[in-house]
Amino acid sequence: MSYQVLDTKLKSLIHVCKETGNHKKIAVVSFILTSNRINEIGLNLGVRPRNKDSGEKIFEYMEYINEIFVENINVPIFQASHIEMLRQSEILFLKNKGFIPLEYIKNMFSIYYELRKLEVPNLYKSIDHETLIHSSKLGAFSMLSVGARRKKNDPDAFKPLILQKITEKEAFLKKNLQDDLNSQNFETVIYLHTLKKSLGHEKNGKITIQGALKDNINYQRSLNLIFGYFILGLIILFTSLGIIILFELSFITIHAIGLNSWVIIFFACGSILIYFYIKQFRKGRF
Amino acid sequence: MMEQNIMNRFRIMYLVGLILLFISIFLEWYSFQMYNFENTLVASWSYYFFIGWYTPLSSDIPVNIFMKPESSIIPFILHVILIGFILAAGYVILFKNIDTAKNIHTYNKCAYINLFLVLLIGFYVIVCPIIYLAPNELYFPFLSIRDYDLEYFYVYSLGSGYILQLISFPLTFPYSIFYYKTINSFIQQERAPEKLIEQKIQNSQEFLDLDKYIAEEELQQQKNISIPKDNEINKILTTSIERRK
Repeated sequence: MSYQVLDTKLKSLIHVCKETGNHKKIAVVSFILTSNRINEIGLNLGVRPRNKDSGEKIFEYMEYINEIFVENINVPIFQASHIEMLRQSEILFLKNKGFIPLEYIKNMFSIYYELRKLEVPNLYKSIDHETLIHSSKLGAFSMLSVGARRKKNDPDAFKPLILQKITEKEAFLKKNLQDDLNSQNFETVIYLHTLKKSLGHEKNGKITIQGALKDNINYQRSLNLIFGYFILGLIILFTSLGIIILFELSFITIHAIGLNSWVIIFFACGSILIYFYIKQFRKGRF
Repeated sequence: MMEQNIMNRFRIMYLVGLILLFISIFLEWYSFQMYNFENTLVASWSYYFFIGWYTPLSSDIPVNIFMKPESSIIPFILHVILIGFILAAGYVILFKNIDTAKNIHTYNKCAYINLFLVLLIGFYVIVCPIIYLAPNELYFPFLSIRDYDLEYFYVYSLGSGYILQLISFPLTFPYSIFYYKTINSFIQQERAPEKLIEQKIQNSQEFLDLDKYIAEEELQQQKNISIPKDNEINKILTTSIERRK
């Protein structure tokens, strides 16, 4: 749904809710919209989505994203005033089960529209270094880009100078970002950050944000798979043991009575586990 | 979080598996005994990784010497490799926790160490009985045979070393595969197209049906004025649908 359509519908809803006096519905909608937008920002920045199941609040998630980016590039994504405003509204919203004063609802919408203005880059895409360098006038650093580095025989000689230039440029952009979060500047800061780190060793030139793997969306989702692997290990074990005995039986038939029962036990266990595995893990989860 | 607790349990399982595997190297892997009908032990051979076939009986018993199985079962170098990988995997589990991984590329080798260790255990537990035990008529897993002609009683059994290896396989398998798959998929993810993240964003969004909310409120508004008849409800719904169009 485009923002234009959404805004029209939102206007109709607010209008009709004002007539019926159902402010709770507008409050709920404002929270869903804000939560969705923050999730979108988080995912674009390579952070896991908000963990609703474990009761993570919207403002806590915003603080969490800020924490990661302050640690990495010293640039907060969300303004502290917005987080504080949202914290007050959210706590009251949860406490009163959706009933919050109109003033708070207005605040929520103002935060939502501010968040919509926020330009965050999609950190999953590869940076087009050439475009970035041209648009940001960073030509001086381009000798460190993957292609250019090959041409130079001894880039080490320029390292201190380049490092200084990068740091200066980075500081300037960071200062700008604190006033206005601009997508282009944001990408450039991360690029410079990566560039600085890659001075010592080879990198593939992609945007990298440091954060523990446990915070990553895909990692969190894949944790469930480990149970499946456990069952899979048992299946491999039992069926292999059954196959070993079958192999053994193929050339010693005289003493087969004692071994037959082992084959049955191993294959029975294997079959039960295969059934369980297919039922629990194969459908949808994998 | 619950998932993290589960993960920690599997890490502990893996560590227990490594310890059991390490102990198994020094224990008896396979044993064979031969008794006469008076229940006297006449031949006994046990296989240990580092000393090969070992007998607790005196070496001057001819039957015992005659019944000694084929010299070495598994190549010695393999045991050394196994110990090396157990130690490396121990280092990985203790100091290279995947949860706290920040630069995934540095964990690539660790993933291969874990994976290779599982394959090695699989070799000991599954392949060795097929290629070494069965051709030497050393039965698997446990078998006792009475020979009424020669009046001997044979007992073939896997040793405690093998049992520990057997246990360590399911203990180490899940975490190793998880570790390998995670590292692999994250390295691939770095090349993932933007569409993938768009899809993830869509999946994470809470569903919001504004049309429904508007229709509900309009209905409520009508109710407040007068109790609507069925045809009026239909009219409101039609209006709402038209508006949606």
